[in-house]
Amino acid sequence: MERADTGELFRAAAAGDNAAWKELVTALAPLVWSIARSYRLSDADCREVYATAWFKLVQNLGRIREPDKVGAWLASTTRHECLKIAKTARPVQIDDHPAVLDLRSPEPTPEEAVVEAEKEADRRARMRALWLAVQDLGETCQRLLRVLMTSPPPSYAEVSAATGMAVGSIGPIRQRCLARLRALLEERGVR
Amino acid sequence: MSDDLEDELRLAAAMLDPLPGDALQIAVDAFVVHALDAELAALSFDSLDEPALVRSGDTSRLLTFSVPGLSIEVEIIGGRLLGQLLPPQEAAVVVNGRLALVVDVFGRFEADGVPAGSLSLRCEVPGRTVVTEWLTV
Repeated sequence: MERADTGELFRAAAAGDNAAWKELVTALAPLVWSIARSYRLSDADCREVYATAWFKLVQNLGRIREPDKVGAWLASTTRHECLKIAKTARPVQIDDHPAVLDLRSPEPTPEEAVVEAEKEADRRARMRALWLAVQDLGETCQRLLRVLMTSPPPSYAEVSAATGMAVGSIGPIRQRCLARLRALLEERGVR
Repeated sequence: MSDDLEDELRLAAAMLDPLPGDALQIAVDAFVVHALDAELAALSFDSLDEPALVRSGDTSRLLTFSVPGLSIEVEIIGGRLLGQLLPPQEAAVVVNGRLALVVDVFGRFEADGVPAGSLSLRCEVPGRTVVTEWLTV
């Protein structure tokens, strides 16, 4: 999935274009959300941080000097809000998320579509196993992968602003984290 | 192989930790609250940025927002907001665009039931309108 040109959208939005703002939100909302999630805040805190980041962007519409870096600006703002709120809040594991908990007690399979349902159940079980393995990788890898796995994929500049890692170290750390994940999956007999 | 795993992770993220259903709308709606006419008061002090000694273990949060010639000091303790304009002056203060507060002659104002979440104050003093930088409390 290709992402829209956020710099163009931001310029138009700053000039008052409502439709451009909506497109900008659609392009960057998943990134803002995954950053909040990557700091292991509670659901409620994630929502607050997410809202604050967008309010703050609106407040600074006329003040951002480099519209092409609006994604990195949002990422950095979100990260700072997360770091602050993490000082007041009790960190939670991401697998407390209701969607993940739901997967632990799958719905009964409807008889008429047993095969399809089993395939689907297998797929969901595998997704869940992958996701739980990511949570067990340790903070650095968990955070980096959570942000990198945003759809549409963020730029390295945005990932850097979101994690505090230097742009040049993201590639190598990414490879190391994926290698660790593969080893963990093998150890657990996933695949 | 590496690409396969990343594709699967991307799918897992979208399936298991998606953007909440109302999140897009929250961000879209934020656009209508922009007030380009107002001056932006930046956060110049936040007790959360201080060492634990200053934070002293209680749950109150101290914030200062500043523009040249005006400071807005705010203390938040469990949903209660206490504010002070410096220099003291009469003004109209609105919390999050909704809750209008009375400011006394000493520049003090207060509000109860301020929920945890995003916070911004709009402050109208004679001749100028100042809004504080959004932040999460």
